[in-house]
Amino acid sequence: MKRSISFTLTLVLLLAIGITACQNADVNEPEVDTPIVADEEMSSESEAEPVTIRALIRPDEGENVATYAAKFEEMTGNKVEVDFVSWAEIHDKTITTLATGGGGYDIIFIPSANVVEFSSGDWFEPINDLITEENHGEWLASVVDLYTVDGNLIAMPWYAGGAHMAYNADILNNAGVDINSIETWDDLLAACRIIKETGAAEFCFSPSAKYPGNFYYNWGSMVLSNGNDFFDSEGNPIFQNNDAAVTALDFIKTGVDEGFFDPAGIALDDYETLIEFGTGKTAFLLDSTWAVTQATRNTDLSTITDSANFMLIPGNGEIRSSGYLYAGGLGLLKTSEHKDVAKEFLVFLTNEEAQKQHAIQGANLPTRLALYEDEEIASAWRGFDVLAQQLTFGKFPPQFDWFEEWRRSAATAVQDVMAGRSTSADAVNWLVDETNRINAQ
Amino acid sequence: MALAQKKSRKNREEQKLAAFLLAPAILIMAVVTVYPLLRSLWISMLEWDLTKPFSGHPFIGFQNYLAILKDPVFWQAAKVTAIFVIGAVSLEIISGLLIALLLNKNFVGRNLVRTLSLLPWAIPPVVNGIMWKWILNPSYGALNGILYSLGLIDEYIIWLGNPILSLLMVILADAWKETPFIMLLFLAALQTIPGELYEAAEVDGANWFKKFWNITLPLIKPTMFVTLSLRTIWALKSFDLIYTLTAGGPSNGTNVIGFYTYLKTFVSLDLGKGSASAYLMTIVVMIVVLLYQKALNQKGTSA
Amino acid sequence: MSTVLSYSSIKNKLHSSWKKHRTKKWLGKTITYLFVIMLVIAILAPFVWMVISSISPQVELSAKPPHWFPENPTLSRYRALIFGSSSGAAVPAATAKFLKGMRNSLVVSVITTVICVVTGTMAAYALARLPVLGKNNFMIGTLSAQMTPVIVIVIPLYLLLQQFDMIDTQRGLILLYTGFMLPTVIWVMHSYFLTIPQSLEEAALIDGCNHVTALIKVVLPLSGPGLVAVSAFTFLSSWNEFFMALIFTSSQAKTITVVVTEFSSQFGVDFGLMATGGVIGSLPPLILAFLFQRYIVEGLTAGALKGE
Repeated sequence: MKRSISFTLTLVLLLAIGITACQNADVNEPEVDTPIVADEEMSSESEAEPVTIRALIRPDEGENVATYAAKFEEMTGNKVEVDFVSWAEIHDKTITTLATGGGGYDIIFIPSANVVEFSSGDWFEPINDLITEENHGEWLASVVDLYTVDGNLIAMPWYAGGAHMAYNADILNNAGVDINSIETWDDLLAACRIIKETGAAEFCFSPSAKYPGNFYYNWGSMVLSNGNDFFDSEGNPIFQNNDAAVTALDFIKTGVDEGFFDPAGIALDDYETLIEFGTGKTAFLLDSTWAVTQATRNTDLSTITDSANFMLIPGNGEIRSSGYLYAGGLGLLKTSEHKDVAKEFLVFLTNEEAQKQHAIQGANLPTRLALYEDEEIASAWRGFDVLAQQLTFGKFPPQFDWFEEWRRSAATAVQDVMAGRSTSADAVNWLVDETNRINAQ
Repeated sequence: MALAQKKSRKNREEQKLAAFLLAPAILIMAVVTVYPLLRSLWISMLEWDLTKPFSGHPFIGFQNYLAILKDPVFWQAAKVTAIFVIGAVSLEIISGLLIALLLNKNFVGRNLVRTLSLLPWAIPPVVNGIMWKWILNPSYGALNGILYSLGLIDEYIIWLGNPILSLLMVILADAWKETPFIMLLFLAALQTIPGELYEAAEVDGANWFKKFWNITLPLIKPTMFVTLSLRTIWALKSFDLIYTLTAGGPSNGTNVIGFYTYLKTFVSLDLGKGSASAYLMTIVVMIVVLLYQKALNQKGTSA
Repeated sequence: MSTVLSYSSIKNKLHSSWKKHRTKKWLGKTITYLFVIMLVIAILAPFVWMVISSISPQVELSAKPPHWFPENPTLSRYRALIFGSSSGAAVPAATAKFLKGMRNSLVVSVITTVICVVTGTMAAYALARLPVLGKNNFMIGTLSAQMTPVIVIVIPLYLLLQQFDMIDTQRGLILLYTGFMLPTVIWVMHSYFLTIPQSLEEAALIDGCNHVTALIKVVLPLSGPGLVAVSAFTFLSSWNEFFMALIFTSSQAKTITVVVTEFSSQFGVDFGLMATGGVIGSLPPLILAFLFQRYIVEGLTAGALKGE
């Protein structure tokens, strides 16, 4: 009897503690958002009650999202709450959120690398009505296909992009290298030799190899532009059957050994190689659409905005160019309670106007075909045509749910070669074993 | 008889009071730590693919454990962890003790130095990671900058560029954060040693080393022991610093078991194997805890 | 003769050894100070460099070697984070987020500390003074629970918080942090209570106090340093925690450590801005640590050493 009383007392105490904590949390909220709270109270009497939709998005496109979320709020009266989670953490946050029921989000960002992974749990609502047969032709077909899983569109194509090459015209001029002479990787190596000999730049190129994602900007795109691929359409590894994989690794190794490439690349990510290029330390940059664009226009990150220019990624003589592509899509969660409003926002954020502004700000390439003909974008974005052209040569990485894990092993292989821990052939063989191991799981 | 009854009634009342006082803490810990721990022990015996929430999670016994134990990457991680723990802990304990011996003297500003020593310990690990990443940056880092300015190096060094060097740098960053606090613990212990002991030894003609060996060391042994055990446990489960600084690379050179567990869970998306790997790690940690407990008890009985 | 000689030689010897002693002492002092200066530099340099980075323009940071003292120091990043965006800096909405992060951290850390200290002290007192079955096993259990890596139990914890509807709330984080900090609080307070002579309480008990009033009136006033130490420690640990805050919170309850990592890409890779966030985010734990330096070391030493 007495025991149960003391137990009840404890529970009451705990509750009291819990409530004080809750109150504290709640009391604090309105302080910042006072006008909004008032707003909600006022409009709660109208029929179409305004709702709050929540989105989980990576921060790189933050400015564009913030602008159009504000416009959307103004237009519809609904509130958009966006959580920006940085590139390094968003994958883990997303997978935890998805695996445990959606975390109350309506919209979640799906990068092209994780389409299969994120869609395998059947978490996303098909949005086939947003891109119909009639308007399918307005979109970049490859991106729409990428986000179509088992015949269902699971995300609104938001942006496209990929690996691109930029060069520093000043450095090339000083070295006496004609940019038009560089069409193959061998040409590039020859140009590097001249740059090295003339001392026009500290390094010719810096291959970023720190994170698994940098695979796009080193080995990955180099193998593609050597005319081969890592996997066939079934997802079976084919890179051991041709020379391209070894050739590309040898190329990186030669560049590092000859002093053409910055050996620091092994510990640099794609942002850091951009900074190297932006300070005139390197002559060439192989990086994302966002990064190469920053080099030509963001004076905070680049002191060489005037001399930075774009070129096609070199090929092997037989093919002119290639490289990995990526894309970003926005998916609608099945657990969303405001699917209609969320869909409205998806359409709004991917409409021509928003994508156009996005493109003019220069972060990513649009997913609507019409915008590739747009005069305003072309005039605001120096070299837009080269980046657009690169897109036509590119290819999306293979789609299977163990790509993230495989990419980590591929990054290790590149690092092993750069650090001199293994030969190119050994690294390829090791990766074959790794591929089989990961595949078998 | 009446007395005994009274005593046992008092005892029962005290037990009730104890239950009342313990209940909130036990309840919170049961909910937040014990329940999730037991649940993840269960998960470690299930096949649980995070991307397939509706496929059910069949029970597969110890297969996850076997798979982990067969994975060469796990054993590499175990090796890296061993090097990291031994390297970091011994560096921190030895330098912590030496600095404490040095500071255990009267000099102007001793309190200030002691206060400043808390700085590395107090700053958030995430900030520590960001800070060292910036300092070790191969192109713009302060470490290269300073060595270059002093003429000690001609070319910038890629600190995180090869597996061995980057493991050393992770140890260095860890030591920067942990050593000062260890030093303060040693200093606190040193100050409890009565000065007369040293004076007596000096009369006997003992030199500095003898005094250290015969007086200081035995008396700070408990502190040494506790610090050693606690640091070992924390170093074994290191994650934050490696997550922000090296992401386990290059070439898996800094891939410790804590990070391996993370990769299994969030990159391979295999919650079952992730939990199994974590439990293997927990077993090692438990062994250290038990050794620690046992040694402390021994100390209690001998004193 | 021999006696005179030996007397003077002893006198000489004594004199020279005294002189030597003095030089040695002087030398020792110099070495001590040299080491102390080196130590202070080693401790401070990384952090000071972060402070300098936070007020240096990006261009000066990218110089080789970097400018150790910025030629054009700027407080624009601090202004941007605290008072709102200024002169064309690309920091949209950062201010609101940053301040919200600081406030969340403060609320969560303070409440966690209060709950932890209250419930932890109660439990520790029971363990130190009252008959509890399986006392030793309980103590080891609490310690080992704390030793498990958080990564493992993230998913079970997520499901748990979801059941309580506590995802992205301050109270959710408070509950988690309390659970994870309690073992330390219990250990430290338990050992602290053991150092307080039981006779004092017995006197109070005989005077008609019960255990609870004895705890409040007699034991707690004597446990000041221990309470300060665990409070500071709990506050610091909650403030500094990252991984749980990352996974379990989003826009509403996000804490400052998570906000700091966001600067890495949302606003370009301005290391200066990350450094600024890092400096401001480190200030509260630093101030606390400096203020209670003495107690923290004493209290935690007692806790670690005298644990049963």
